Amino acid sequence: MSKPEKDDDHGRDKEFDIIINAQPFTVQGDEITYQQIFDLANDGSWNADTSLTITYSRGHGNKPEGTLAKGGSVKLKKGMIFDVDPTGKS
Amino acid sequence: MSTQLVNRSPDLKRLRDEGYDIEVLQSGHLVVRHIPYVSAEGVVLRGTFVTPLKMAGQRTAPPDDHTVWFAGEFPCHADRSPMDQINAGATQQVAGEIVTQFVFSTKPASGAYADNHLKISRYADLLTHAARAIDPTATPKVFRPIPADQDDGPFHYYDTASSRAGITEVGRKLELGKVAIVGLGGTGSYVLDLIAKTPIREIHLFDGDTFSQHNAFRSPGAPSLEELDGEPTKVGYFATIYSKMHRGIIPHPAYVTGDNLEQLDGMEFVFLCVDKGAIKRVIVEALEARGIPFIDVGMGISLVADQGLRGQLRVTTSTPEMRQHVWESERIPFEDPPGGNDYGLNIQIADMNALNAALAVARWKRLRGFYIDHEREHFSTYKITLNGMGNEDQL
Repeated sequence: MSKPEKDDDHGRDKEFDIIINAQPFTVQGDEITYQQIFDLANDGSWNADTSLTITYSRGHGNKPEGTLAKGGSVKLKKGMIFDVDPTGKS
Repeated sequence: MSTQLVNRSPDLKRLRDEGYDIEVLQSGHLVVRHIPYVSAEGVVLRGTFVTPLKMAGQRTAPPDDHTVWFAGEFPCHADRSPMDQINAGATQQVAGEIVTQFVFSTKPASGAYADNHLKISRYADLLTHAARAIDPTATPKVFRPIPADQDDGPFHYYDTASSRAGITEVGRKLELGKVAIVGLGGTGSYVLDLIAKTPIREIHLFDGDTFSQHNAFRSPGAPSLEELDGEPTKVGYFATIYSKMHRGIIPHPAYVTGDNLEQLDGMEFVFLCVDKGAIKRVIVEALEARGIPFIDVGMGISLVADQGLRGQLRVTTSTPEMRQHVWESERIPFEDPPGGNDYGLNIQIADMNALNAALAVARWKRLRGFYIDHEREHFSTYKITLNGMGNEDQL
């Protein structure tokens, strides 16, 4: 007989359904980093030198919207939306 | 005509802003043309009021005479009976080149007109009321375009929009001497469209590109095929258009490079609207060294298969009070965006260029104190799919 699930998830990573550039992804862990977002959004046209503007919305209450800088991370929430773009065109 | 006298005199300013065709002669007479009235034959004609102005220094004083002179035939009611009640005699008067035939007199209930707007509009209303019975569109408020004096501001014709809204004075916060737009692509051209309507004295345009057919679809206005065939430079094309309104549009048909940075000397503000990243680093360093505040803009739009377009607009602000975010948080991309101008990889849409430009210009106006600024952000993003703005690097 299996134990009922508990609220604390010892030994099991949380999963979150999020949107990156209008595409759905399911990611694991409490947080997501700049690099992880970069890798998920990259269709091959970006390299390590590419400057990107990464913003998130619909995140957690105390700061649901913001910008992710290189080396940064943000706490995951179901339904979060990420926008990842080079913003150099004028 | 002295636009300064008109601007300093609330009654004359109000007459002008309401659309009356006014002129102040050297002799100190106020002339108001295009007054509709009914002739003895029952036809609607246009006449002219003339009245001497009483002055108090550099502006008008309350009129000391309630009468007005009239050039035209004697005005009638709609039934062609003459307006005897205002007739004060068929006395000829001369003001400059104008000869008037009649003098009208009607006093307001208070006994005297407090200013020239009350006086002129009272007489104009009397005559126009009769004219409207025959022609309902008759009006003395014709809004004839008023040229501005050579030494009276940067426009060829006075900014009556600000005047009518009562914001000329706060608009003076935008009276910079020299502003530059580097890059007259989609976003730069919309920046020009907006700042050409502000009282900046000189607007310098820097771009080495030619204006091509595809540029027409992300610029303000609408060129003809002939204009495109002329293969104008971008700066030449836009200078021609905006010089119709603004005296100080100065085109520089060459890119800003590391070899000609002295062109930026003396600029009081710069809008950086270029695609190339490497030159941006050079320009940003030059602007910082010269203590010049600037705004850098950029966008990234991509096509998502089976869905549509999405992306972001960016506005980065840098002033002597706040520079380090540009470097520490990488708020400006200093390498070329992927794809360059390659077919299929450079998506820019006119409304997004316009929005990016409008956000940049509005940010500049908050820096100048034209708009109140509670946010003081130095990095902001607009997310198309969310219709959301995000602000960072608040001062």
